[in-house]
Amino acid sequence: MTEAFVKVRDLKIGATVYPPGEKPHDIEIVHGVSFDLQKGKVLGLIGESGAGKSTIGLASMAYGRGGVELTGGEVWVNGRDILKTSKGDLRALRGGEVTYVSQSAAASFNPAKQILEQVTEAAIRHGKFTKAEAEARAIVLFEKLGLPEPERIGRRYPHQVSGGQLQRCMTALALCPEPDLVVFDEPTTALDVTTQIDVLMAIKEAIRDTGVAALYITHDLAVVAQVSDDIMVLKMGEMVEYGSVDQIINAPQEEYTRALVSVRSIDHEEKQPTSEPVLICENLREHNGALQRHEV
Amino acid sequence: MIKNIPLSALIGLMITGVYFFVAIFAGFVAPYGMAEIVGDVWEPASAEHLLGTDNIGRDLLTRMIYGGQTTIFIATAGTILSFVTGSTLGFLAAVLGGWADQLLSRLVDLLMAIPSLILALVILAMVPVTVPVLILVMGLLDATRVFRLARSVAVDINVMEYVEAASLRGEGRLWVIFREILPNALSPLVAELGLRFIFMVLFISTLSFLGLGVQPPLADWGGIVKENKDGIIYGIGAALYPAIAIATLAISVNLVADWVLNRTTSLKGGRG
Repeated sequence: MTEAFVKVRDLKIGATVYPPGEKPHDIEIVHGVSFDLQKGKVLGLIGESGAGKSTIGLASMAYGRGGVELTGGEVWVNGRDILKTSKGDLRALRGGEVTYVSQSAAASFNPAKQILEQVTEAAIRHGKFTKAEAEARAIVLFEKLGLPEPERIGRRYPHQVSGGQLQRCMTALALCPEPDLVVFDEPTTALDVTTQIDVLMAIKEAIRDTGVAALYITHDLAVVAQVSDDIMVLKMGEMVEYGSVDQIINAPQEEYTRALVSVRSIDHEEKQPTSEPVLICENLREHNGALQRHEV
Repeated sequence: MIKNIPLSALIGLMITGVYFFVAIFAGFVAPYGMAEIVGDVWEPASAEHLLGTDNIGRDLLTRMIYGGQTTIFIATAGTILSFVTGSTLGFLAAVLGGWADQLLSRLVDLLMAIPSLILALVILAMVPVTVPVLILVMGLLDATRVFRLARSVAVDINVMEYVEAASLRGEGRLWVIFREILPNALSPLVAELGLRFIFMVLFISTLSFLGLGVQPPLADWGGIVKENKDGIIYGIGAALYPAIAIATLAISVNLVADWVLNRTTSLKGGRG
């Protein structure tokens, strides 16, 4: 077996908390997590909110959000421990070798710049492609991700496309510089169910076609089962269970994992009304801006 | 393109354009030489002297044109200086945070605590008053206002996810400042630009009126008021022309700034 592309060993992450009325102090939010990730494979990180999924994802780029500090362990990407490399090397790594797809594409695109410019700038800035090459590549990616008018959509501004389209643009942004690892941080959480499936399939195909390694962070087991090869279940910053998709879904060992899996199959119970209707609308019509009332 | 510009902005653009045109081409537009004495003291308006003559018999229209050139040039240069330094330092303070932010912000507080006119008078009383010195002093004093606006806008933008996304793409601070923050901070800054330009016109006029601004025989609007203020007692309106010029320039520049603000930003002050 070849050396893993990403190798995380005993990763510990701390944060400073500021409880009201007390002195600020440090706590540990991730307690020694380890995993391996080969090229072309997808590892799903799953857990409830606050489990440390995103923090671990960002740690694979040696990045800590405000107040978060990587306190211990090793993160090996492509044969070097990125927690010990220089700032300059890190800047070359981020956006070039490792890219990031965030939960909210709407917030992650600069509203003042056209989409194509933003999709291509990391690839150009890291010297991977010339402007013309990057733009051609972006159009290919737009097409692969099922975006309408791949030739022209890049000339729009982020507010001129829908949320699902923007999320695909964000995936194109992450794949444009031909990275080795992509961190997907809940890329479909903010989308509605049907769009979620579309985007998920597009991401899955793009991962398969480009052969990148991917960390896929989500709280949705159904999603993670779709895209991942392996799954790591996290709870309160600790690894609960780690194994192949098949193993986690069909033969969960831990109680917590069993609970997560069983949530998927809960039958929905129809609610019965508890009182008379509180709002009845009949024959409501709208007329050139003025609302006309009919037995409301 | 022109169809989409509202009437008020069009009027503003036209008047501002005329002022700037006359200022730039003063040498060609002005009927006489700047310091040329062409008639009696305070002659009334006539065919030769459309606005009459000033307190020592120079053509007032010529003085107004050259005065406009000086005033508008100094105000423009001062505004550019204040915006470049103010916004660069403001963005830097916002992005760096910590002690760098504290140091810059408190320094600016200190400068703003002293009325800028008094501070300018003190500085100009100590150094020789030349046009570059005037631009430098006014530009830097005004930069404190721009700094505060730029910093407050940038602090908000700096916590946006697209700024984090940029650093996750490996971009450095300079990129964040000029490619992520600047395009999004431009609208409030442009709106402020119109206002600050007018404050600059008033500032240089005030300094000249007090005798510490543009030095004679160079003409400027504040200086013309000073030279002709005694005429008001005799019912001679020569001192009022610069006032009218400053007022119309102020209004027209702000009509344009308002339009730019309305067109491009969400900071509309409840004007829809």
